[in-house]
Amino acid sequence: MSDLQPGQLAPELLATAAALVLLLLAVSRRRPQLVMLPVGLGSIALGAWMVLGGAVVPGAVVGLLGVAAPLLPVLLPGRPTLQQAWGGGLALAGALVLTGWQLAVALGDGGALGVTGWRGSIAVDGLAGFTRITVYLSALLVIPMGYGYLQERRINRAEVEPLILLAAVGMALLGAANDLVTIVVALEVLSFALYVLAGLARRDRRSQESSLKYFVSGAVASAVLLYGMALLYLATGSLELPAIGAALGSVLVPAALVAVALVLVAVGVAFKVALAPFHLWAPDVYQGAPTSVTALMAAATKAAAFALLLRMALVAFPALGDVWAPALAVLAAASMLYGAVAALVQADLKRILAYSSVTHAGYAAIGVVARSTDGLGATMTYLLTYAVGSLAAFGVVIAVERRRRGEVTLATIRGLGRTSPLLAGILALALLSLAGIPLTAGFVGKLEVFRAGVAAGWTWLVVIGVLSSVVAAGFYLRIAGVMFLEEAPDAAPATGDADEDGDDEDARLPVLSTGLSAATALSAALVLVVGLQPALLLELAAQASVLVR
Amino acid sequence: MDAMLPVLILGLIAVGFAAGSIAVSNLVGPKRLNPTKLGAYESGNEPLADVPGTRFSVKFYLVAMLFLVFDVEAVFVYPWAVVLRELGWAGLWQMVAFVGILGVAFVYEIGRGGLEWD
Repeated sequence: MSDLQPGQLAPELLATAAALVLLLLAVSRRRPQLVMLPVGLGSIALGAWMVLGGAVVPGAVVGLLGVAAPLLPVLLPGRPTLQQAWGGGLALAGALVLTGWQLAVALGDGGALGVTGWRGSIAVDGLAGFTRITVYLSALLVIPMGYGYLQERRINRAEVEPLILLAAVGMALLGAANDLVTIVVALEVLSFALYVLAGLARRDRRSQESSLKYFVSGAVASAVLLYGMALLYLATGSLELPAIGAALGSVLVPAALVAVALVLVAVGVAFKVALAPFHLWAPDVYQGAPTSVTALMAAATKAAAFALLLRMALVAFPALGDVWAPALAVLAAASMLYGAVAALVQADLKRILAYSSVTHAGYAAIGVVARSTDGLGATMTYLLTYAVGSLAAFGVVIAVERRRRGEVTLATIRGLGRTSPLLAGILALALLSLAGIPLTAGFVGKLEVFRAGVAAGWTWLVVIGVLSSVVAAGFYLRIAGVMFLEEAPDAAPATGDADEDGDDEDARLPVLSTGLSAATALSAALVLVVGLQPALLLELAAQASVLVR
Repeated sequence: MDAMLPVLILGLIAVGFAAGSIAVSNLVGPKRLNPTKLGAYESGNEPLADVPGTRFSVKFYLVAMLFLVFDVEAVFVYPWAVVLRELGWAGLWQMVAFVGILGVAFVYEIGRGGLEWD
């Protein structure tokens, strides 16, 4: 039992505990201190014990959260949803600190990156750490972004934050999972939480559709993946990915069985990351889900699913690289081209971003196809840059959606550059980043991925990537053009009746909540900082490009 | 295989006995049917319709899920109880954590009114 080191899963344990506490808080009715006081005192005691035991940083995090727990109902009396939001946000911030602590310890003197823990089920490596950063950062930004929005749509139930926390735990665990059972458990934890979150607006047909489609297609994908994993276990006799990888390298494994397993696993994972022929669920799900949930799906789920893809491809199936790499390259090319072309004819902003996420899955897959350490670092970097870029974009979509009360289409944002230049500017920045224009985060990620692809000899794939970038830049710039070059519909003399004038007055008012503004501004700032100072991120990615094999 | 043979035989006997009893009582038993006998037993309600696709209240699913939670818990607890002595204190604490998490789910369900029928 001594090899079950809690420190290796510290962020997940913290976030899970916080989710449970928030669930209890949700049902505590008028006496929140009945829950928060014991939890707080217990956490302070646990934190003190950990600090005395030598684990200073995690102890301090636990202790501080313990102090914060009873203060929440005191500082925010009578506002249960705000208490939940702050609780979830603080827990995610704590998880982020613990992730940084983990990475600092592992990269520092005497630390070990690239070991396994929890009897081989958990990988302590760069991929796990990077996925944690992306996932917890995205979830942390999504909570304040979504708070006011969900409140206005009257769907801000107390379960939102616990579910976001649990989804983040599943995603982070998926990044660290090193055996098939842990992978399945992590995948289901994140999927179930997201199914519920997608259907949060129960009265909204689109939200119902989104939830149901996500559930059915996700369940099918899970079943296919599970079948492939069962065959993989049958063929190799092991559940741990490194052992599977070693076994597949030998000639004793039945080839037909492995081939079927590879196909099934590949299809299941491609479904989860929404690569081209398996992406059909993405636009409807993204469009129907509440926008903050969509942001979480786009930014964090993509990173987690790609962590699964990377680990499966590079740890379990490296021996079959010559088989899956061309196939994955074709999928990547199809995603890049199809996503870019399909997005051109969409009018709904959330659908455009959904198709753009399909395109971006294709770009990120180039780093996987490269099958190199550089490719690993490039994909991890790409996912983080995509996450901040898409979060900034979705933040603006939420803002516009709150103002205009309805779906955000190209017509809705016409002339946004005149009525609210700041919002339009942030959206333009996010779109430039998604298009991969220099001086933004997206450029850094795209450059890294393309460089890794060329270095590994996949020039044709990179050429297709560049071509698709040009097409994609078309629809990104179209949005920017609609915002800045066209007049706002209210300002046009032909359409201006009294009712719309009233809306116009309203539209000029910045009705944004502090949380939304702060989170969106922070995402946009991250886009700029990473774009202008990529060295820090690239250094981290280079150091963290370590996989347990 | 040899070791399991008695179990197989016992299983066959059990199934055979059940099937045989039903068959014999159906074949041999006297049948004097009248409307009262065919009606619902004691104070049971007359069934109004048995249309295929009858709608159930969603509450039944809630109860079923609650049952599943405790069912799965029992599935875990039984083998755990058998080897508890070998697992020692670590095993005990792991089960405490597991049951604790389930307990939170249960408290949440009660708090949300999952056990109130109307």
